[in-house]
Amino acid sequence: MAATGLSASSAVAADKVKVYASLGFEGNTWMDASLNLLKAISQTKGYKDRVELEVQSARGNAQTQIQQINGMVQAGAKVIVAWAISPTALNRAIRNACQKGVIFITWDAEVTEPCAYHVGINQDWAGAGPAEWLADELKGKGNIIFMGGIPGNMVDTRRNAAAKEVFAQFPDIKIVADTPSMWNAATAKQELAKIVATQGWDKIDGLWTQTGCYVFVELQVEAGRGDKLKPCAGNGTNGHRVAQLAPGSVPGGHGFRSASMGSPPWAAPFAFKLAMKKLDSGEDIPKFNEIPMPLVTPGQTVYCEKADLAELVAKDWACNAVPLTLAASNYYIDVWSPWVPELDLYSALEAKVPAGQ
Amino acid sequence: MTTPALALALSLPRWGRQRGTLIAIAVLMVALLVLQAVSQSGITYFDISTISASASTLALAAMGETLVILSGGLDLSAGAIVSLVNVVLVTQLGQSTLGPEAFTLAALGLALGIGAAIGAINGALVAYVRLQSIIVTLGTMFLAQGAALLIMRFPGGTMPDHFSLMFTGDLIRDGLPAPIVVLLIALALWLYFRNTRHGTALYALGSDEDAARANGVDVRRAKFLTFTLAGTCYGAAGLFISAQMGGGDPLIGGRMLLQIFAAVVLGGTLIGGGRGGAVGTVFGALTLTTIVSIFLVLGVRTFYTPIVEGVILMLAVLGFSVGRHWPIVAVIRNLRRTLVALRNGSLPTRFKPIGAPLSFTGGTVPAALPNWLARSRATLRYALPAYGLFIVALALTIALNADNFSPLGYLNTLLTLGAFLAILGLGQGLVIISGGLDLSVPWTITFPAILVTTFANGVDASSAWAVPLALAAGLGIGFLNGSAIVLFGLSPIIVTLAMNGMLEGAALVFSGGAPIGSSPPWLVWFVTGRLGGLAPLGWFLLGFVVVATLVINRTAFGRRVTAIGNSVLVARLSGVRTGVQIVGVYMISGLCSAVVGLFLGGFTNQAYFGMGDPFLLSSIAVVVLGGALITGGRGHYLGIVGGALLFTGLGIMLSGTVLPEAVRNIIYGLVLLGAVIALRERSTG
Repeated sequence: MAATGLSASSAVAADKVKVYASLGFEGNTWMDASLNLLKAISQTKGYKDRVELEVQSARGNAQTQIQQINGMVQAGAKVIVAWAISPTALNRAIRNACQKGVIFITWDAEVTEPCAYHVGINQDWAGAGPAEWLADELKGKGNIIFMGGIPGNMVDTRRNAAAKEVFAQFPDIKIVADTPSMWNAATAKQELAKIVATQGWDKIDGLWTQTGCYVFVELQVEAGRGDKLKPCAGNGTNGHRVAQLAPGSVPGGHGFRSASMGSPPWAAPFAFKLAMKKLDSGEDIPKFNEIPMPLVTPGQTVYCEKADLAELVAKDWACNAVPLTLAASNYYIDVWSPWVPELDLYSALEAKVPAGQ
Repeated sequence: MTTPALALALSLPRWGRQRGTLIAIAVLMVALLVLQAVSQSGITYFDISTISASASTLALAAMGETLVILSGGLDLSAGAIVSLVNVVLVTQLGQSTLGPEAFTLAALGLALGIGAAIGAINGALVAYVRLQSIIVTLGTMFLAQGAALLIMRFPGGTMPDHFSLMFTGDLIRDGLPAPIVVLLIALALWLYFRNTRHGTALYALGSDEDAARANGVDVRRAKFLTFTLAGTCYGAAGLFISAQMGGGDPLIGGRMLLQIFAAVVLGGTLIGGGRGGAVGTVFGALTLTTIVSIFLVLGVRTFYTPIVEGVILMLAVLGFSVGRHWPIVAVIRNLRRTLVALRNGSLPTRFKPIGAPLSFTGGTVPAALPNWLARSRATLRYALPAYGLFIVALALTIALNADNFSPLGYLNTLLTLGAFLAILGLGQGLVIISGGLDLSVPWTITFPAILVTTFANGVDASSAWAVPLALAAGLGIGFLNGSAIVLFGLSPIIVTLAMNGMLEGAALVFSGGAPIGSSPPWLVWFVTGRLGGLAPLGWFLLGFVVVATLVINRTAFGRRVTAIGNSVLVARLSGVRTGVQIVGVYMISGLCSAVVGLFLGGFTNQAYFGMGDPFLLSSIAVVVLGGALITGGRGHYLGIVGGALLFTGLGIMLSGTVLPEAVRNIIYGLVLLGAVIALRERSTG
């Protein structure tokens, strides 16, 4: 493999292991962070010289993702790391890939095809965990708003069902409005505004949501109720985590009583590493690789000034929020983990490889 | 004279009519040549089989859309019917123990039957109740989507392998992929149909409905049949995608609609009807799919795909219309003449009119104008139902939340959220009244919003130039839309569809993957702050409605737009500079979208991809709910504002409940259909 001279470089490229990333969609900070982390991990010293990463996005079209997966297999892919648009639509394309010896691994969005590997959080707990916190916070009594994701989506259905199971154990907790957020912050805010228009703030005691605890805070501040924020359990962005901190302690701190969960973008580089491990060693890996779901409740927020590799290691990977000047309030901040100790915040922001990695 | 020359001469006009199809084939050939050139091993059997498999669902659905478009209509329910058929097949047959032959027959019967049934509902409402196709199918789209979600709440289930292989496998191993055979069968059925009396009726209908009726075509029957057959095609697409996936997903057809239009247009079918055909459509679908393969081989960032698709779409459509009376030729000729006249001093405006202007005498002048009510009866009849329904929704909301209903809170939300739709309704409404349709709304909202959050990034001072820049972008987008439509005589649907794709690509490239920044604080305050109990946007809306109503209904511009919508030719002969007016209409629409983009960015204090997506169909819905005629020529802005209030009020009512989304979809569909039935013209048929 010790190639010398220019003429040999293309031959070396041909020898490299072809890894493809197949993205179901593109265009938000969560996917952007996942993709940057994938690029960064492929450039760390363990993989840089022997792996070639190519990226394709299907822009929300299942047909396109099927075609791209077929094309990747044909082009000699050894590993495909995918975020699937649909848990069922890609199944036959995936089975074809498996039969050709390709390691097919998904992160976050799972597929039902049994030959695929998966890295992700426990989606039932993603619904139930925040629900349990909210029920505790409300002492088992109160009116709540329930906001799911996209109706008809499998992850959405699982999270909602698990959360509703929790709430069903508390007869005094009443769901007064149940409406989807479409996993879209603007939709979430419009829907919340509509609900408040009919129910009024006084009747509402809390919110369980898959998107937009932060917009829940915004709405209350806009209505002049910033001093008595109602609790929220749901998806956590950097702004949400910072808002959990005491008012005045850091810019953006509101003392917000909330539980903040998330499906971490670092699942993508971890899926890459797992697949490469299987490819290198030939040892089998589990089909379902559950990663810990962050569930940050009041008092557990750890604010880190830089979140570079040195600080992350020094704080034993406990960081879960950064200054809003580093990552915007809508940034999904769970981008680092001791499970992927090569990468830090800047890998997610700019696909940078930390020094020495 | 039985020479080959005569035969050639006789066949030439026929080929001329087939030009759209020929260009569609040529475009596919070019795409395949590019693929051949860029891939190391050239085009292999694998490429053919994967491209045909990926294109088939799109091709089958787009064939159905072609039928509707040929007849002069537009069908928005295609994707939702594909979803519905998919989930019905998986839930009803997934666990079936039938043998392969019986299973396939049952699946075929079920899929085509459901498609035909919904198509027949569309057809009956369009043909016999005489409703506008776009709004009927918008209603059935909601209904079918709701039904799909009721039947299958989340993706799952399986279809047997033999079924999948039958449609997506190889008929001859490494020789003939089954999808090619599926497409050939569909094409054979189309060619047979085209040469029947019904086929002729279809083209006659799209060319000139009155002429068709005068020539003895049963127009109603022809329309009914067209929609039923189109539904059958969507059923076939649902069948194919079920085989390809081997499972069910209630959302699978949701994003197909714009691609279906692209395939039809790329296939050379004229939007508006009368010319084109399903052969070209199949090639159009294959081209769109081949482009995906080319990008895959090249390893190009997908950022550029929407731009390339948009450019190809525009070039192909320009190719279809080359030399076919491009208005730009006349524009240049007139400009040249004007210059000459200017030099000679013979410009008509320099001459004084000879004699007195014609005076109208002899007619009976009414002694006094009839009172306001009598004059406005027609306008009220189509503008009032939206307000009536809104009051019903309001009353229901109050009744459901009697103990804690706050009028001020309700009003504030109604005005803030209603403002987005009311402002969009002005732009989309003007476009529709002028006889067009603006499909570029989603990204004309999103792109300017991204510009502002990126450049202003939470700083008021920078917004002094970032906001005008974003508004100028909206105007510029509208200018390009309008100019392409006017100068090249292209269909508004194609131009704005291509523009939407190109803007998506431009936004991806501009932001490098994900938009950054936040809105300037004053904009956030404007949308979410309070001024006398309401958000400043609420007060702004009140002024906006007054000004816009005056502009549309009390100025020459508004009357000219209505005149254009009734008939471009008559308007032009009446001295209206139609081109300038139409460009103006699209510029207003672009500006309205950009304004909504800024407000939406202020509302959420950020910009992100997809923020404009929910507004395409809702902007059309409020215009139609407000009583505007989708084919142009009729509409009152106060009606459209009523439509926006109704749509928002309905949303507020439903959000405050625990009804599942499927039921909400069905309610939206029923309200839409109910409203258009109430609004329909009671003219003699």
